[in-house]
Amino acid sequence: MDKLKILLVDDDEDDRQFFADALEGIDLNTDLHQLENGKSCIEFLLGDIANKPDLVFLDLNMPIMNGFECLEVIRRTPYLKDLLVAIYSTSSSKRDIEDTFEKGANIYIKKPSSFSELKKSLKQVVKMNWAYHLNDFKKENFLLKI
Amino acid sequence: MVYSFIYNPEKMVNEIFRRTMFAAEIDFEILQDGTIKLPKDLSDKKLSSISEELERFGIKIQTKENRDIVEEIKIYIKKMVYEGDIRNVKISELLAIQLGFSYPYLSNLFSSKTFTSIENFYILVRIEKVKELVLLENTSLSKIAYDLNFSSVPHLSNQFKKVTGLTITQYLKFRNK
Repeated sequence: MDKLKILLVDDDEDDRQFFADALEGIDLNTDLHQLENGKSCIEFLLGDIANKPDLVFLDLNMPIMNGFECLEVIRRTPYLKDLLVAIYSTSSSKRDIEDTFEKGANIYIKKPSSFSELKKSLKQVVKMNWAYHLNDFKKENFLLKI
Repeated sequence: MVYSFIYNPEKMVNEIFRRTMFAAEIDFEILQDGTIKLPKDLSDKKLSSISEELERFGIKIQTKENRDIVEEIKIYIKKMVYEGDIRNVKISELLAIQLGFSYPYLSNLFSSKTFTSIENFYILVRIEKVKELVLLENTSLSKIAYDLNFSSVPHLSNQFKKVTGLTITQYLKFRNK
């Protein structure tokens, strides 16, 4: 089974570590790369074809370029627009959720408060994403909220 | 000017295959089940050369020895959901008969090679079909539930929410953004 390449973009170092530990804990075949803001995400994605991940997790509130802006750039860049994007945020506001789906996010995952919940959520995302990653299903029909 | 293309993947694959065989001067026969019969005396060298050529286009030759059973399970489930009649059928029994292995064997193999189980994949495929049908106008939820073997509309709605985290109405709203 090929490794699922995941990119996490989050300015909070603790949250990134929390995420990396949870991903390691669910023991699925994944490869994680981490970045701190939307600008570095876009530069990374456009920097090398080998950098293109299977799934991007984007925090919303970040300095330099936030998650909304980064999502907009991804969706209007032809080379990137088919990327599967998961918003990973502390916000549970209906407006943020609707805004991100309307801007083209595939997944909205609220940062859980416990480690076990995060592991459960990540497992669900990876399991669901796997079928899209292999082109079993049409990516444009993929929406998931956790 | 921006151009988009409309293409038929099956026709493309057939054409690539036909041209490759023609260039390699190999006779072949397409059987009714879609498999291809090659001459018995085909040398390993020639087989490896056409195999290499086809792989450039993402086409892999599959023999009985290197069957990709997980892929066969996925193809069969999708075919059943999209083209067959799945009302009142047990997918586990059909898979065992179709692929010629016991269901526990298939089930363990599928789970070990993918991130999910056959049962979950079957639900995912049915929910994908639900998404496509609800995006088409004039398809009632009762008919969708009946055709896709959900016991009722609430059962369909619950499964949809469980898989996507969204209600069907929310899904339509965001998808038709």
